[in-house]
Amino acid sequence: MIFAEWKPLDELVDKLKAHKKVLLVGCATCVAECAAGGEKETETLAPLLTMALKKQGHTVDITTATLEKQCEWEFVEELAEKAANVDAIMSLACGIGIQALAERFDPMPVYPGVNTSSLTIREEDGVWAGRCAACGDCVLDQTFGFCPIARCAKSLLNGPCGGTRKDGKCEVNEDVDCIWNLIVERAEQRGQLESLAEIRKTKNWSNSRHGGPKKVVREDLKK
Amino acid sequence: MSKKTQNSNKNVEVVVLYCQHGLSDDAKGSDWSQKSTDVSVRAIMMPCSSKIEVPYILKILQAGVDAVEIVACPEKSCKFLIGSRRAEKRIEYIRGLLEKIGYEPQRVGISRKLSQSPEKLIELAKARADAVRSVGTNPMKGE
Repeated sequence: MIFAEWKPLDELVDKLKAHKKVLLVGCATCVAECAAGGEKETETLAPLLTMALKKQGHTVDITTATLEKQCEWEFVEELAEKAANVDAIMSLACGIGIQALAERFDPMPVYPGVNTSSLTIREEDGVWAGRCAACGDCVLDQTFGFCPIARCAKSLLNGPCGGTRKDGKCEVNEDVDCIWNLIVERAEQRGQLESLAEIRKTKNWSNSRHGGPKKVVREDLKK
Repeated sequence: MSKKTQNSNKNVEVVVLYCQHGLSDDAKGSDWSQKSTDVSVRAIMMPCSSKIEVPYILKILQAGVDAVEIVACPEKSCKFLIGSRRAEKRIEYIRGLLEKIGYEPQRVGISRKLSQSPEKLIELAKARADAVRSVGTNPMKGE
């Protein structure tokens, strides 16, 4: 899932204090899964911001809505009526949803309520870990299902770096597995250790953000 | 007279959210309220303390109530095994959020009790009222 976290509360309060009526908009997909911007978090943040603003002497009327997806125009349109009655919007969706609202409701100010940071898996309740860096050139078949781009602190394609701790953890963070240690272990288990001796060439980053803004057109799907 | 001093003479509003399984058999009922000179108590029965979600409590405080007391079952007595543990974690989370926005965390508390009579719930509410009396009225009061 796309992972996001609330921005610091004082930063959010600072953005809203110049407004009278604000629409706080959640998204029921990825940001709900990572407990940052689903309906529950939206209904939590609204009273919290109202109280924080009041404490600082600002009376702001915050209404809420949670869309099924903020990244689909059909769902964004559901906000039209509510958006007509406010002077600002704060979105708890990922950066995609925030931009969709900013585009649809221009020139209304649309504030990000979260910072979107990574693509994660929920390891267990309350624990998320990065798994994908959207690099645009997947090598997971060569690395036994472990991503060295997202999960190695140095994003090494030819690891390990030599800094692996004795317990198999990363030298950068003792709580994080050295992913190259796991890659080597799995290669050994499968009897394919020699495959790691092959040098993986310099990565082609042009299909990632390094190649400029992404736009894909599928003529077969266009109307 | 400071705001805090003013509050010490005023009526403190407390909402008690209690697990239905923590009440004595002869005292089970639904919602009720009681008002005295210094404390107003509104008690709301819940199916389990784990049903108390974070937004519920924040919306109660947003409405101007001075304090919220959760009455959950002791951990080993919880009919839903981890319900009261979940409630406790949520209360800790809420207290952290309140601190971040400059509100006093003691406005929300949790007790783990069994076989509670309505009189004992009122005692818990009064203890919560005493905990917030010194920090002043909820700034949201009157909104």
